[in-house]
Amino acid sequence: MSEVLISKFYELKDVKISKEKNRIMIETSPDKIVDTCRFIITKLGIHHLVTITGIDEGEKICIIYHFWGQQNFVNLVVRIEKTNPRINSITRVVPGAIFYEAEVHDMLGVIFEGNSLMEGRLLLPDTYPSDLPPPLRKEANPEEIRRRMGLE
Amino acid sequence: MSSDESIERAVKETTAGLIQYSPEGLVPFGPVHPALKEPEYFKIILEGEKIVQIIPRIGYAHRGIERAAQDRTWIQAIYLVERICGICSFSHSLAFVQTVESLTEYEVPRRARYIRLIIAEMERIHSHLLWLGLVGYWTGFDTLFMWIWRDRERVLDLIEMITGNRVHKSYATITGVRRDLPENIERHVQSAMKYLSERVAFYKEIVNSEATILTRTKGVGWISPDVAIRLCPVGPLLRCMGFKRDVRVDDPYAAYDEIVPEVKTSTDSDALSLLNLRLEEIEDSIRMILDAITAIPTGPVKTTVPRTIPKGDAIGHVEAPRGELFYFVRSEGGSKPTRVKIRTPTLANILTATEMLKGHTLADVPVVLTAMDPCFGCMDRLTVIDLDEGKEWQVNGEQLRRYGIEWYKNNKRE
Amino acid sequence: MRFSLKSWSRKNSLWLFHVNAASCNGCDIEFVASLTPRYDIERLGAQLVPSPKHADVLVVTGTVNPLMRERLKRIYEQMPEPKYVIALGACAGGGGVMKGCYNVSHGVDKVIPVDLYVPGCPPRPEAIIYGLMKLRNKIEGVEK
Repeated sequence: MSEVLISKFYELKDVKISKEKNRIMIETSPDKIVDTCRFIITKLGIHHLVTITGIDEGEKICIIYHFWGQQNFVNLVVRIEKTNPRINSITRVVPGAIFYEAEVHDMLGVIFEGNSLMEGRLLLPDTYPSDLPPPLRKEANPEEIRRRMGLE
Repeated sequence: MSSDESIERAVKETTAGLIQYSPEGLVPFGPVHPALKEPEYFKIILEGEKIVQIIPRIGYAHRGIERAAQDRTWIQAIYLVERICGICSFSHSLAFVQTVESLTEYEVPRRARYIRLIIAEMERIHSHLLWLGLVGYWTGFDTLFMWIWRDRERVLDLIEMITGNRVHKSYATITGVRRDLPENIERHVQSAMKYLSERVAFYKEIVNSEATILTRTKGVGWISPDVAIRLCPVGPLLRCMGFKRDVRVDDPYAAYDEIVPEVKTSTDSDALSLLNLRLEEIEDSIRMILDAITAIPTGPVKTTVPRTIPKGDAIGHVEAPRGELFYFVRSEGGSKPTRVKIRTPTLANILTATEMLKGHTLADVPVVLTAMDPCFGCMDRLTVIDLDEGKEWQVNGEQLRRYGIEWYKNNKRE
Repeated sequence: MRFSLKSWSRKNSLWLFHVNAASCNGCDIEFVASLTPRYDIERLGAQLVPSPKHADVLVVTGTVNPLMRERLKRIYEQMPEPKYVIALGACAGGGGVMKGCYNVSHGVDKVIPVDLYVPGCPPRPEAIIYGLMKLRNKIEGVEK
């Protein structure tokens, strides 16, 4: 089953594909994200987006889109620069992604262009100091966040 | 409809719906919009008696666990993640432990896999019974609530006999479970399961014949399956729309490849079908526990517990009582995790549940929101915004419950 | 000790208002379980009320995160005197397993004054009943 799926991915250009057990990893560049997601959902029939993970890797922020369908996980990996963390939102293709993108925005400061929840906060309190880095970045310090928010 | 059409429709109806209505027309909202200056849990926007939109705000239970897991060792992290939710705490620890195990070369012994299945199914029974009692509570049927929670104590007794605690069991560990089953547990399990299956048959009869429950749940909360699938729901909410998806069957873990669950679906997608679906899942869990306790193999219950985990990324998911629970773990070879990402099933279901409520009245809010089985705190505080009168007022869960009961005494839904 | 009608009537009808301040719900389900037939704190005269204005005792569970601090203070101010506060569970007592997280207070007593701590993660319904008995003694003046 996964071999059939992987062979269909070769239709896309500029992707790197690797696989272990039933997890397929696709790596692509940030400007292709919406087209790749549309391909996965319409052509492959994998329409369940599990979640979107963001990881701070030092100089880049790695964003992984996890899809599940046809008894396989498809992980779509993109990396964006930390100095300019912007990427297109996929809510035009997967409306269910709206909260997952808002969570990555809250926790890592990534801006998803086209997502209507980018102005406010989803999880963090409104009193979170806006000059401190978002909590999951490497430079964020929980002690300092506690002190600035007035929690003893 | 084709997939492109259903995507179009879902985008128009839902993300466009996250735009607030105002006299000037459509205004994009955010939690910093002037009318929404206070962070509330749910904002309900009414036009006359009908609900037009529900806007959830979900930061009330955010504690920063993903960040805290980076400061704990692998074993300490198990105790941390199981306290994300008290109702499905074993599912959290099981998902975490399974994800970490897939990074190592260790095999989980067969007996441990059976024990994990038994405890996971007992947790499913306890969670569904808890939920069912709450439905009785919200619809004013207090007797049902008291009876069900009394029966639920039998399951908690069993869990306590096996693991030592009722709620946070701390039972799963990397490569197995922490201690073996006690002697002679079989007859306790069999007598409790026999008692429970009689009670569940009785509750099925009540749920399908009592007017109190039928008027408030039949036909309440409907959404088109083609639109709902684009919002990525999970769990019983997905199964009540006719999709046969269950992580235990699609991607078996623990001993589910040997003791296979029967996945039940329904096509009605209203609150009553969710009630029946969960009752049937309890019956199936009872069957699986009895099968497992008779067929359980002998052997060890854990192998060594490693202190450092090899480098790599791993993902894992389990079927918690509420739906698919997903974990992503990244290790860099040390004694602490580098990144733990958790996606709870309630987060995946919020969009679908709020869509199901459009067009209903305020009195239906408790039943439909409870139908997606959220955590307790969700229902604590709601703000109601009435567009016709231009007023805004706040209710808490208890007041909404009494409002719903009174409304249904004096009105009928058309 | 002389019998006081005031403390006798107060301790035998404790009306409880429950607030979930960012908890995992473990303490909440054990608290609600103590109202159910097996443990039944209603025989002690305790019952749940829908509004803090009718309550004698505020039962708080959970780590109090910044979204809940203001709300908790306001609920406490809305309660009429004499009022008592129970901090239920390890998180409400002093942070519990969440100590050190960036979004939690280390205990309810950093926000409002507490009269009774019930330890446990979560405390069993028997522990909650024991705690209520101690609160009754405190109201009567037998214990501090």
